[in-house]
Amino acid sequence: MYKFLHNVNKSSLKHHLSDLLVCCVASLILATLVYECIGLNKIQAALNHSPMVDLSMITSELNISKHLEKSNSMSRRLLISIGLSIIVLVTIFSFSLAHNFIIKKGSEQRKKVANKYQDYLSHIISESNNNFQNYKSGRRSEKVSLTKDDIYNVNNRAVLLSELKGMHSLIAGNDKTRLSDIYFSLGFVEELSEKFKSTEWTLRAEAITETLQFKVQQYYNLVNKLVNDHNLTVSQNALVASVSINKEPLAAFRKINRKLSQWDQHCIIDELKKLPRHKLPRFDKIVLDNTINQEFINELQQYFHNSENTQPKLYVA
Amino acid sequence: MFEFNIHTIEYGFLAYACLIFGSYILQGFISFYSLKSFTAKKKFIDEGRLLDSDILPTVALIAPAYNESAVIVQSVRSLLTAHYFDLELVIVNDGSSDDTMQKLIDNFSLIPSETRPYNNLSTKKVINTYRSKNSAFKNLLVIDKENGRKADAINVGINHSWADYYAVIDLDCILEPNALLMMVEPVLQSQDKKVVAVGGVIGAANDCTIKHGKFIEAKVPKKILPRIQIIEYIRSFILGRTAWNQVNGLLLISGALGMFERETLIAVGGYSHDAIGEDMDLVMKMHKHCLENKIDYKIGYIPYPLCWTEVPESKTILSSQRNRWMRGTIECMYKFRGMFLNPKYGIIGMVSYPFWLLTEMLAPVIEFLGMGLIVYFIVTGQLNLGLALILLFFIYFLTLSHSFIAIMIYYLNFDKYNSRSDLIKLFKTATVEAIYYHPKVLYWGLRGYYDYFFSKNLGWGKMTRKGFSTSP
Repeated sequence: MYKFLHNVNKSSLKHHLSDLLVCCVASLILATLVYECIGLNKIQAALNHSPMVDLSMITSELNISKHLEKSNSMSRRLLISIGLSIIVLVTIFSFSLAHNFIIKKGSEQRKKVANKYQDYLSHIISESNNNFQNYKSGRRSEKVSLTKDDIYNVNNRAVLLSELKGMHSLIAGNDKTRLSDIYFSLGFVEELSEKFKSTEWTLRAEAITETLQFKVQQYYNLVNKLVNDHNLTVSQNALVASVSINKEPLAAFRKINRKLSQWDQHCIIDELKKLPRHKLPRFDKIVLDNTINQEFINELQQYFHNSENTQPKLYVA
Repeated sequence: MFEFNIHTIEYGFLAYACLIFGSYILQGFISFYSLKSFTAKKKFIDEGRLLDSDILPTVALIAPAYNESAVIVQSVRSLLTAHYFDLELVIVNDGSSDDTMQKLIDNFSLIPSETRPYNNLSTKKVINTYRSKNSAFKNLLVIDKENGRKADAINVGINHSWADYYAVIDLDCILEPNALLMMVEPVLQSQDKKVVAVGGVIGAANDCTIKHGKFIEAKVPKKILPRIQIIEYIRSFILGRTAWNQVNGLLLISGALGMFERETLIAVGGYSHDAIGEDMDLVMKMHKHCLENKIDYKIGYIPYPLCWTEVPESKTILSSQRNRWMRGTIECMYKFRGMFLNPKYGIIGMVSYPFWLLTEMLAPVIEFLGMGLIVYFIVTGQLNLGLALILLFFIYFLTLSHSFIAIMIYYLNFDKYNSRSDLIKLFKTATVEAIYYHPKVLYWGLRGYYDYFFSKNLGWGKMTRKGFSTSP
C-alpha cells in the first residue's frame, strides 16, 4: 500500500486522498443522519436510562423478551445504517466515475475542434507547399482561420497544442520548421515555464517533451534540473532529453542521484544512436565521480571506442 | 442459548458480506487511481523504442497445443507477428490425436531438427523437434511430444529453448502486437527488485473483429454467457488484480498469458505436472521460493488488455472450466497452507492468502450455507421478510455497483468497447448477471468441491474452439 501511495506522487496523492476522505466523511455524515432519523439513539437511550429497563426488571422473563425485541430492532436499524452508508459511499464513487465519464464524452466535442485545427494546420503548410496532401489522403483542406476563442480558451488551446505536436512529430523539413514557428508565434513557449514549475508531474513531463520537440533552448537548463525529479517518469524523460539537448550528451550523469534502470540505459543508447558521430563525447572523462552502474559504463565505453558496427550489449541477466 | 447461536451465525454472514463488499470498494479506489496513473505514464513511455533493440532480455514464447487442428495454423501465424526482437516461438504438440502436427509440418515447411535441451525439468518423452526450411519462420521451433497435459508441455518448451524470460500463452489467444514489449517494460524499469513474473489483462475475443491473425476491434458478444464473462474478466483483471499488484500481492497470473524469469522458474521446478490449477500453483511457488530465500522480488502486472481469448459459449464447457478452476484453487490453498497467516510470507501470507481463501475458495460454501440458513428461517417462521428484502436489495445494489464501476473504469481508460451501445449492452448484462448467472457459478463451484474430494482423474475438460471470425 505504501509503495502504491509512494508511486502516485505527492500532489496527485493529496488529490486522491482528499477524494477518498470526502467520500468517507459524506457517508459517515449520512449514516449519522440516518441513525438519528430512525431513532436508533432514542432506543439506546431508553435502554440505558429508562427506569423501565433497570437490572432487576431485566431479570424477569418478560423483560428479557422485551429487551431482546428492542435489541433486535436496534441491530436491524444499525444494519440499515451501515448499509445506507456503504450505498452512499459507492454512489459517491460512482458519481466521481460518471464525472470522468462526462469528461470523456466531452472528447467528442474535442474531436470536432481537433478536426478544425488539423484543417487549419494543414492549410498553413499547404500554403507554402503542396506536399501536405499526403498527410490526410482524400481530404481536401479548406481554408480555416483561428478565432479568439481558439487561441484564448484553455481547453481549445490544449487541443490545438496537441494537434500541433502530433503533426510536428509526423513531418520533416521545412514543414516541420513552419509548425515550430506556429508554436512560438502562438505563445505556447511562454506557458512552458509554468509547466516546468507545476506540481502535476504530467505537466512537467509534457514540458520536457515540448522543449525537446520544438528545441526551446531557453529551457534546456530546466530540463537538466529535472533529471533528479522525485517522479521517476519525469526524471527518466529529462535524462533522455538531456542526451539530445546538451553539447555534452552525457553531462547529466554527473548530477543524477539515482541508480539507472535498464530502461534508462536502453533509452540513452537509443538516443545516442540518433546523434551525429562528431557530437559524441570523450566518454572516459565524463564518467568519473558518479553513481552510474559500472556495467553500463563499461558498455558505453565499448560503444564509443568500438566501430559503429559493434552493437553494445547492455543487458546483464 | 440456541437463539444466541443463530444470531452469531447471522452476524458472521453479515461480517463476511461487509468484508467482501468493503474489499471491493477498496479495490475499486486503488484500481481507479492506479489505472489513472498507468494511463498518464503510458503517454510518456514509448515502448516503440524497444522495437528494434537487440539489447533486450531474450524472450521465448511457448504455446502448448493439444488437438488444436481447427486453429493451429492461424494461431501460429498470429503469434509469429508479435513485436519483439529475435523472439523465439516454441509450439509444443502435446500428443494431439488429431492432425495438429501434420498441419504444422505442411503449413510451415517443417523438417526434423535436433535440439539439445538447455534445462532439465522432468517431462514426458519428446518424440521429435522441428524447424522450418522457410527462413521467414526461422524463429519457429515445434516440438512433438507424448501427451502429458499442459504443464508438461510447457516444461518441454522451457527445456528446449534458452531465454531470460519465458512467455507462456494459450494457443488460441490473439496477442496485441506490442504485448511482449509492454510486458518486458517492468523488467527494464525495475531498479533493485528482481521481476520474476509479469501478467496482464486478458480480454474475451468472442465476436470481436480479427483480421489476418490480428486483433482489430473489440465487440460485445451476441450471446449472454460470453457477455457475462466479459464483465467477470473486467472485474477480476481491472479491479482485483490491478489493486493486488499495488501491494505485490498477486497470487495468480492468468494461464492465458504470463511471462516468467528463467532462473526462478527453473529453481521452482517449472510448472507442476500434477497441478490442476498450474498457473496459480506456479505463482504461489515463486512467491514461496523468493520469500524463503529472501530475494527482493516483485511480480509485474500490466493493467492493459494484452491478449484476447475465446471464452466458453456453452454451459457445459463453462461448467467444466469453473469446476477445474475451483478444484485448482482448493488444491493450491491446501498445498500452500503453510503460508496461511504466516508472517514469514509477508503480505502474501497475512493478506492475499487469507483473502483468496475467504473470497475465492470458501465463497460457494458460505453462500450455500447462507441460503440454508434462509430456508431454516422460513421453515421455523423466524424470517423477517422486510429485513430480508432490504438485505437482498442491498446485496444486489452492491453487486451491480461493483460491475458498473468496473465497466466504467475500463471504459474510461481503454479504447475497447468504446461505443455507447457496447456500454449499454454491458450495463444491461450486469443487471441480469446476479440473477441468471451467479446461481450457476455457485453450483459449478460446489460441484468443483464435490469432484475434488470424491472424484478422480477428471483431467482438463474439453474446450471446443470455433475459431475466430474475421472481418471481410
